Amino acid sequence: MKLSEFEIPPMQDVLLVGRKAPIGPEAARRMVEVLSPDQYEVIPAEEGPIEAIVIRKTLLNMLPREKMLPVILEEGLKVANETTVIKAQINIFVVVKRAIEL
Amino acid sequence: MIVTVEKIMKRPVLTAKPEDSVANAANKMELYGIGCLPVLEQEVLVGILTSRDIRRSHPNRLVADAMSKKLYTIKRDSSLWTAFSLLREKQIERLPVLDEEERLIGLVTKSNLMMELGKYTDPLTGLYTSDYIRFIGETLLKEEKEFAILFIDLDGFGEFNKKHGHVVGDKCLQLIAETLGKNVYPETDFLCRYGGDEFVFLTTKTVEEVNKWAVEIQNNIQLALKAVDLSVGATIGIAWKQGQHCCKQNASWAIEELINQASLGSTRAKREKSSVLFVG
Repeated sequence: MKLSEFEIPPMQDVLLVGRKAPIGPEAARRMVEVLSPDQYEVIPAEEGPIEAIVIRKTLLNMLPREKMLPVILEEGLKVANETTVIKAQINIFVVVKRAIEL
Repeated sequence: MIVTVEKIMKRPVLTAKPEDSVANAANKMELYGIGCLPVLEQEVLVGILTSRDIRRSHPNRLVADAMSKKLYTIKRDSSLWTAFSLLREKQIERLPVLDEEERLIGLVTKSNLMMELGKYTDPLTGLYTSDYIRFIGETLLKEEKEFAILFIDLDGFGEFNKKHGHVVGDKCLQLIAETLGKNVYPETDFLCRYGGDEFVFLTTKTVEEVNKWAVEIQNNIQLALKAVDLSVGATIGIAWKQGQHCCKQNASWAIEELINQASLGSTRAKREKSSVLFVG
């Protein structure tokens, strides 16, 4: 027997929903809305094998979406295809360097 | 009276909910032998699920994730030609029919529209019947556009039939219809066979263009018939849509009135031995 804790929601920072995946963006949206209201955003992709990206809103507060989404798609597409639903964890490190006048 | 989509639409309509599974919807479509399911969310039409959508989607998906969200609908009082033009323009097969409160009340398909429109096509000439011109006229009147009605009446066609026989008469009508068809510019002109030896053009050409065009039509008929050693004259009565006919509410009456004026014009032209007569 293998016991493990059920993640709520059963995803981390990002979900890449394939165009022919067993669940679609609307199902993903309903899932995150029920399990973690207001925490995720569903961004539809116009073309390519990925139909939508479900992303934690706090990540979009840290980085502008036009910077974030191309990176997610570029890296995600190395693993994901149109039949898969892939979850991804994203760690953002912000390095601040500041000179202080003494 | 123009036939509306409400008269021919299919009802009741089987529907799906956005939260249904694609597999479930596919079973329903197979069970009832239908090609699509309009999708309703709290009585509001939100999409349409077709057999093509089903083929493209995983059966586990929600209908909401498989349906086409780009919706083209039609109102219950729209004409068959409006529905058919929309289907052709958007290259789709079906149109949900809505009532005044935007509620789904039926569905029209391309095949049942084509079957119905076939009733408004003259079997001898392949031209539309007069209802088509009435529909175009009513539409233009409602849009407050200007147009002319040309009522083309063949001269002494009864005598022609007696002299050459009805088979030749029918061939002559086919030839004239074909010739008139060649005079149609799709952007501006609409043609129908009105009755036995009467044809009607509706055109949005200018007055000057119509005058010139009417003479061209007559010449073309003569040339086409001459090529097969026949000869029948054609008299044209032309009625122009003027201010008093610009009644949007009474477009149905106004178009009848215009056709009648053009018809009387052609009769008067015959009496006055004129080939084209402008009335109105």
